[in-house]
Amino acid sequence: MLLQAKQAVKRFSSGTPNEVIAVKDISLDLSAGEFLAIHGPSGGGKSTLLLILGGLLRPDSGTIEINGRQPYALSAEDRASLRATEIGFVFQQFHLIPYLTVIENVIAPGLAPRPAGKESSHTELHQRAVELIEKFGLAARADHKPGELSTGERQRTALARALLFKPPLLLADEPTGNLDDENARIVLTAMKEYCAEGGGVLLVTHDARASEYADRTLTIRDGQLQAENVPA
Amino acid sequence: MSVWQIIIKEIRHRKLNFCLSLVAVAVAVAFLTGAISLLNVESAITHWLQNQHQAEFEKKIELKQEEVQKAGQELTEFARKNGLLLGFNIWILPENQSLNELHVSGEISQTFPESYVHKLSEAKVVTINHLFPMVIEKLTWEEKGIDIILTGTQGEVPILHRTSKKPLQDQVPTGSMVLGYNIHSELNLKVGDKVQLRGKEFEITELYDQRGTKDDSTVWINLKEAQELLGRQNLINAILALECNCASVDRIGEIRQELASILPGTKIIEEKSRALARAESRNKAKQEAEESLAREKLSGMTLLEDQQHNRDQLEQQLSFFTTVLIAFILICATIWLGLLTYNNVRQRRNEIAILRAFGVRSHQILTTIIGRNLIIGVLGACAGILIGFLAGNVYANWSGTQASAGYETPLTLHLTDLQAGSSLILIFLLAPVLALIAGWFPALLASREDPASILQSEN
Repeated sequence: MLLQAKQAVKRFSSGTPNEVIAVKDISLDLSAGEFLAIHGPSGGGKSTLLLILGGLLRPDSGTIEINGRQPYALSAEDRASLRATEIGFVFQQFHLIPYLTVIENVIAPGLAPRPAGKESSHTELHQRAVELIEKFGLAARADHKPGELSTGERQRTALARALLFKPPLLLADEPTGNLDDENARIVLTAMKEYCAEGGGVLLVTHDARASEYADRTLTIRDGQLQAENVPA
Repeated sequence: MSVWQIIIKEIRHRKLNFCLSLVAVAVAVAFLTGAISLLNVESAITHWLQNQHQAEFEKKIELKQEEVQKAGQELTEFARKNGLLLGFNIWILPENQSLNELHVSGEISQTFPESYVHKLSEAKVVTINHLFPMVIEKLTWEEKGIDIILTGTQGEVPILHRTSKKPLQDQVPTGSMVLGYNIHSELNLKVGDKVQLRGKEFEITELYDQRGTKDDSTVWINLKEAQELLGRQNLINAILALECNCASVDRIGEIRQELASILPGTKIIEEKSRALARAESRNKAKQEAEESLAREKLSGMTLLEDQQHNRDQLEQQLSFFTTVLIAFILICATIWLGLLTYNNVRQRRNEIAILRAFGVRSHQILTTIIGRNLIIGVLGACAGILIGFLAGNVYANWSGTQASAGYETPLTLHLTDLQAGSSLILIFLLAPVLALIAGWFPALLASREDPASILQSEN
């Protein structure tokens, strides 16, 4: 199993009258090559669940396993190393570095130290980045900075960056939220292709278009998974 | 891509923040460098002025000393030339000679044997030196119709137990005559003229200049001839003893005691000559000049010490004020840089969060922030040192010119007078250290910030 969550719970302002249970006892799993979409309204706990699954936000209870390793049982540095090798992230706001060009943004995750045996040379990284930006139709924009890109180009850049090291798991938070149909299609298609290559994709969104590409769809409401919908 | 490439690209992207940070460091370093230069320049000028004052003072004292020395030499020369009447001179008179007569009429009517002078010269006296026996008579020079004081003298009688010295006064040769000023000027006589005195012919051999004493009315002839003319063969009126040696205050008493046993029936009085008075006056003047010189020396030294003290105090005050000002500026610059760094970190929260999400380590994030400040520190140090050094140099030139105005040698300050190499190195090291301190807290915040909370709030 690529990703497994068991009874994950996350509370905010715990023990106060303002306590919010963002994630309630959620269990799910994701296999390699699978595209899982989690739908839900804003404030339903989608982003919180994604951060928990990505090893960025420790749950109050429950366990998370990524490729058989529990990120929250690791030290902060080892958890960072796990993220660097196992996970790629795509966010709605792209989070591109404004002073780097497209190709530099794609290469940026290369700053993180890689475990022994998984290091890549600068040339290898550059080659891989070039392939990705060509694949996502960004070749002409390789030397442009994020401020000079359209919204769709920015998201494609963010997606290319997430896939630089071909992580087994791609976590995407509302990647099509700001995109037009065409750009949403490009992004979702790319994710689907990535699954076809063996990667696992977990996407949280309220965009109905995502369901068309997902192998499975879950609905989250008030922090709880409501139903599972497997396309015919 | 390396951390340093990220730093450089970020600096190029956020130029305003970088420039403001650079200005903060450069201003602080420029103040520090300039202040140290200023203090060093002031110190060098103080030292230079002190040396100039010292040299001027020494030159002045040297001139004074030369003047005093010259005056002393003149006095010695004067004393030597006037040795005849200088020093402590005494008259040995017959015991029955009325001093009242001597003082009122200037005459010595009493006599004692001429042998007294020989007796004295053979005795081992220690208190008196040169002996001049003489006969003195106030008379009218009939041939010329003028009143004169006739003095018969034979010159110095040597004291036999002493080593021979050059006589102080030459003997008036037989047949010759020496005239005082009033006599030769009234009678219009010249050297070589032949004159008659009481029927005896004399040749005038010397004419004295005006002395303003009874000498101006005196005629000197040989002692023997005077004794014959006055009918006082083997008699004399007085012995003049010159340059007497007495160690005690009661010098007359000492001489009287010694001579009483050798020459009974004599009395001794002190000759208070005008030359002596003049010599004493000059001695006093010399002493006063020396005392004045010593006082001036002391006063000059005190003045120099006061000046040094005042300048030291001024330097200390300046140093204190500068230290406080510099400390204040350094603290302000550090706080300012810290705030700018914090602002920079706040602007970079997203990129830091995403880098952290991709597995970039916290120490790498720390390095990007600290590295940026290190560059600011190094560049700010270079710019600040350059500005401070140039400003210090301008001040040094201006201040040096001002300080040396009116002096012969202009004050030239070199670059090494402004700053020691070691202090420049320290300043150069200090700036990056301060920049690191200023950036440390914001960098630590950034490296420890929870990326989840940022990513969550941004989505």
